[in-house]
Amino acid sequence: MRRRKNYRDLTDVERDDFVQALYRLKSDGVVDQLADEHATFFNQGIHRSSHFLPWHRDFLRRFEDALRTSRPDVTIPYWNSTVDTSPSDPLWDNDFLGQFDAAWGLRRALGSDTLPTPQRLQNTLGRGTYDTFRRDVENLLHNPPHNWVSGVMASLASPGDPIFYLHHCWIDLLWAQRQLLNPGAPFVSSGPGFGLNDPMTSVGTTPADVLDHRLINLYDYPPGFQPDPPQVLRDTPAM
Amino acid sequence: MKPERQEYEGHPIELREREGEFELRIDDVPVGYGQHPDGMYFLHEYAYDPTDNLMGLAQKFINYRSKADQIRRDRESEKGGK
Repeated sequence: MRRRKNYRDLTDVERDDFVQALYRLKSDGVVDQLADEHATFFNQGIHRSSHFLPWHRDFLRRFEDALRTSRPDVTIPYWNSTVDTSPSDPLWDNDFLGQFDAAWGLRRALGSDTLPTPQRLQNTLGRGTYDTFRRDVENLLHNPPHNWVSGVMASLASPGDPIFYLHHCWIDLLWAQRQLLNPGAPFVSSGPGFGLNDPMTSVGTTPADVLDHRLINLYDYPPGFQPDPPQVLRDTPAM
Repeated sequence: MKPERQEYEGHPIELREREGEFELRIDDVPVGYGQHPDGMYFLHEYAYDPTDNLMGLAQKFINYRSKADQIRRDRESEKGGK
C-alpha cells in the first residue's frame, strides 16, 4: 500500500528518489502530456463542479503510477500551504523543488499572492455538506497557492510545475480528512453529468471509483486524525 | 459582452470584436482567456482567480503581474549581489 506523507517527513533517500523520478517523467514527456491534458479540459468540468476533487484524485493516481515505473517506492508527498508559507522553506531548496524552476523554465515568483490561513482551513473542514466543502476547498484553499507560486503554476498548464502534485496531494488529503469527519455524508452532484456514477472528463473513471482514497493510498494524517474507513457511497441531486 | 477600451494603471485594456469573437488585449498584446460553464472567466496565464467580469479580471491580472514581476526582479538583484 502506498503511503503519502508531508514532504518534510521524507528521508533523504525518498527525496532523491522523488526528484529523480520527476526528471525521468519529464524526459519521457509524461509531465508535459499531463500538463496539456489539464489545460485542454480546464473548463470542461474538472474545476468548479462536483468532479473537481475526484478528477484530481484520479489525476494524482495516474501521475504517481507513472512515477513508480522508474522508482517503485515513490509516492507523492504533500505541501501544507497553511504551514509552509515562506519561499525559504526547505520545499524550495535547490536539492528539492527549487532546482526545477530554472531547469524546466517555470518562471516562479514565490509570494505573488496570499496563502490560506490555518483558520480558513479549519473553517473549510467544518463545512457540513460535500457541496459547500468542495466549493470552499477549491476557491479558498486550492486557488491561492497556484497564484502564490506564479509562473506555470498559475496557468492552465499548472501540472508542468511539480509543486502542482504536492499541492493537490494536500487538497486530496483534506478531502480524506473531511470524509473521516463526516462518515456517510453523501456525494452531492453539482448538476447533470456530474454525479457519483458519471464518467469524468478525459477519463472513463467515475467519482464512485475513487471515492475511497484507501483503495489508492494511505495518508500520514496530521495530529487528531485517525485513519478510519470513509464510507461515502450515496449520491444526492444538485442543490 | 461588448467592445470596450479602458486605461488601468497606465495599461490599455481592450475587448475587440473580430468575426463574432471577442479578443482581450492588454498593452495591445492578445491575452488568452476562457470561461467556465458557470460563466466565470479565467486567463490562460492567470487561471485561478475566476471572475464574472472580464475587464475586471484583466485589472486584477495587471496588479498580479506587476507584483510577480517585482518579485522576480528582486530575486535577480539578490542573486547579482551575491
